[in-house]
Amino acid sequence: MLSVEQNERLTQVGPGTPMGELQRRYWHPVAVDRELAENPVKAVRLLGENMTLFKDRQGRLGLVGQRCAHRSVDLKHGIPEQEGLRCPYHGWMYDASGQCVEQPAEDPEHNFASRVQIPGYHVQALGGLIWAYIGPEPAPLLPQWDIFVKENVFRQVGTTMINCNWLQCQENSVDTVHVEWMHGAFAKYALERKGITHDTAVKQTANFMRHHIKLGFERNEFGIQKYRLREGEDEATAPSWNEGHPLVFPNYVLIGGPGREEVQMRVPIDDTTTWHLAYQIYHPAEGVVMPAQETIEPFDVPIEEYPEYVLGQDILAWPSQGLITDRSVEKLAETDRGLIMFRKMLEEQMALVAEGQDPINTFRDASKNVRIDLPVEHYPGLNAYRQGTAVFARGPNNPLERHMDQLMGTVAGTKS
Amino acid sequence: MLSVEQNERLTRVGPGTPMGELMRRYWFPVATSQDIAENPVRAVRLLGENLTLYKDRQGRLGLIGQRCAHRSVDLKHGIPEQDGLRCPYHGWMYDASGQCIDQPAEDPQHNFASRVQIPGYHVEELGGLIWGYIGPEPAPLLPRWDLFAYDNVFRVVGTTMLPCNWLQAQENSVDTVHTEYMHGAFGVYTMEVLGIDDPAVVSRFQRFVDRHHVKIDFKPVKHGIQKYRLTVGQDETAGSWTAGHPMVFPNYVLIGQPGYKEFQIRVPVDDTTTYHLSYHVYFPGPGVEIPEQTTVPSFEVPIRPYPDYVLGQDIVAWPAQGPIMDRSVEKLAETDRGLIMFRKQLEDNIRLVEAGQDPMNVFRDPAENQCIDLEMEDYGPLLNYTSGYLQHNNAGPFNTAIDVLDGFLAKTAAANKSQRAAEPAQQNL
Repeated sequence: MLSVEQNERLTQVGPGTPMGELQRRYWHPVAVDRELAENPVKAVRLLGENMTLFKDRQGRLGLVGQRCAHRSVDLKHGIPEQEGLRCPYHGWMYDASGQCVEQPAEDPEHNFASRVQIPGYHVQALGGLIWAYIGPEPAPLLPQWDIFVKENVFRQVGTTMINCNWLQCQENSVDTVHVEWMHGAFAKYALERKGITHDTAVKQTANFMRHHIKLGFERNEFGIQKYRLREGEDEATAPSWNEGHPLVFPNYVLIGGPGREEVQMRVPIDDTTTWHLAYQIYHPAEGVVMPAQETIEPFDVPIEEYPEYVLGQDILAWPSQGLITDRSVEKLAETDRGLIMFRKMLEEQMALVAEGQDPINTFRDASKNVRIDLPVEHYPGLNAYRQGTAVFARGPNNPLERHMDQLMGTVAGTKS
Repeated sequence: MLSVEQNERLTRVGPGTPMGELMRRYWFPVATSQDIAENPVRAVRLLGENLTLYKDRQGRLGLIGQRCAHRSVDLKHGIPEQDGLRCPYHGWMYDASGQCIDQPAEDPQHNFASRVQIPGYHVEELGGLIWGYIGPEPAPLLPRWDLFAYDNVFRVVGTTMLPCNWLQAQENSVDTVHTEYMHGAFGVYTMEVLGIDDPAVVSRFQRFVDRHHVKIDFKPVKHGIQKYRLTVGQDETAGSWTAGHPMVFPNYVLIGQPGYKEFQIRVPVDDTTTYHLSYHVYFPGPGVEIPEQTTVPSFEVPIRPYPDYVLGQDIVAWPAQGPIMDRSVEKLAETDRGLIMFRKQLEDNIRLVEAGQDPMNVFRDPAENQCIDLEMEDYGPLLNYTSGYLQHNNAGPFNTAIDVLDGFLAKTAAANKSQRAAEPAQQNL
């Protein structure tokens, strides 16, 4: 249980708040690159601040303030040009640094443009996502987490705008036993309500319903490693007990499965909105060469009342805890000790930032940022796949089904 | 006209408010039986409080707090079990009293569950509705008003969530002359707007215009206020003038037509939301069998700007007065004296509650609660029924049992008519 004040400290992310300052030390995804291919200008909101993301006609990214300095027109209506983004109202143009570079209706002799500036932020593309950094200078490096840079994989990302605070989403990552219920008993009830009897769904649910025998949580270099031992697993060999998987500080979790890895990212849009990205990579069967993906495939993961897909069950639970869940009335139990460890870690890192130091997972040495491998349990590769079953894990809109033949090497000419 | 403070006193229904305390002495419908048959777990809001209604796998009802005590997950997503409702997040289970009875992931030796409790409320099923009581103990009996207690009738329920305070909906029940305008002039204008010129339909609304009021009267009675009206063409022996019909304190009205009675129930969901139930009871003619009802059918009556059904006209008017009507700027006239009587009755009963007493219509003696008859004029049996009539009647075309009911009413009218072959034909109201 937290006091009302402690809860505010951990949940509010606006400028000047303790958590807002900590979150401003990290890069956050603000778009999927496919979105900019469809429309090169996009309104973006991050940590309670409004911005405009654009790609100029030369293909260069820019992330600038929301409004034109002149008459406050929202630049999401801007026109992308060779050299920047032009306000549609009177043609003022800004470069990626936010510098006004043209005021075509004004006398150039006054050189007013050179004295006009709107905010400009760091922006980079990686792994099919567009990333932003809006914190203090100097900006740290954009972390090259392994999942974003691994080669010869198929990538897709499921996104959801969730109407609740980021922390209740992220706390789910150090909440081990919820899988028995949310993905077990509740999933079974969802199948009952929907009349779904597909044996893949039934088996998946039964698998999740296995009880936990032991839980473990351990601080490590990148966050908190979680360990679980369930009924029917061997303590000496079970990957989930011996290797576990990490909560990556402050707002990711990495999970593994046969032939795949997935990072779930909870981006704080503002105090009561979270952009959830389920970013997945699939390893092809041995000897299969995946064609390069020009852009990764985004898909919408909807919030449904009785979802038969795993992520749907989580994204149902989190907003149901309230816009900002009231931790002054919670009743934490013994199995919640991972949450307590995580909250302590958040407090500790906020204190570091308040002292002017870098929090963990801030990278400034390029040689250590080539590929950052995260420790995750090793499962064997995917060796069997039944058409029509991707929906039960990844949701109704995911494109995996269309790529399975290729991944499994059953398309002629894909094996090298 | 009321002062701003008086208006607040009569409209606010949250915990601790004078009207909220009066309202917390009554049972309210919180869902229909059909709702719970379709999904045994529902979010419910009553008097500004959020609750979770469920039916366990043994068929027992429970009405408990909105959120799990553990991590505040909304229990509307809960899983109904044999012995209670289970939170989907970590499996904590609650019984109907709100007691936590299972924490499957925790060490049972710590017995933490026994120390965890969320609110639990009284809940009962009657007449196709699920009723909740969230006031102080001891809870009074759930009143068995005659329409809920009758045997051998056909029931349907139309429901609407209104975006306004309960009181303006209920004041309509002591507002006699609105029928000439809301159901008359506005009804006829609606026909014009919708381009409906079928004389049989237009006349249904025109007759509200034609029945201009000659006299109106109101009397405080045992269960509320009895309303009387004498309209053009009636003599003073008319039932609507000699017997009238009742507003049932604090939030019902009982109305009727030949062969049919209807409760309108206005449930205060919060200060600016009202759950309106239009509860219809149809009486069979001699020898006519009631169509089978395993569950009383319920359906939503929508709010439309130009409704061609009578209830639709009322539910346009009430939200149009504002989320909470500002009674400090109203101009009450002579025909509004029923409203003034009702507001006084509300104030008197608020004071009774403040004095620690039961207000009116609180029942604690089972012997008096077998079937509480409400006095009203005798409309007599249904003698004439034109197929399709219900399309424009109170709940409009949304009634899901409309075809069954249409056939039943035709048979009822025919049976009544042959029994009364000697009597002159009666007009439908």
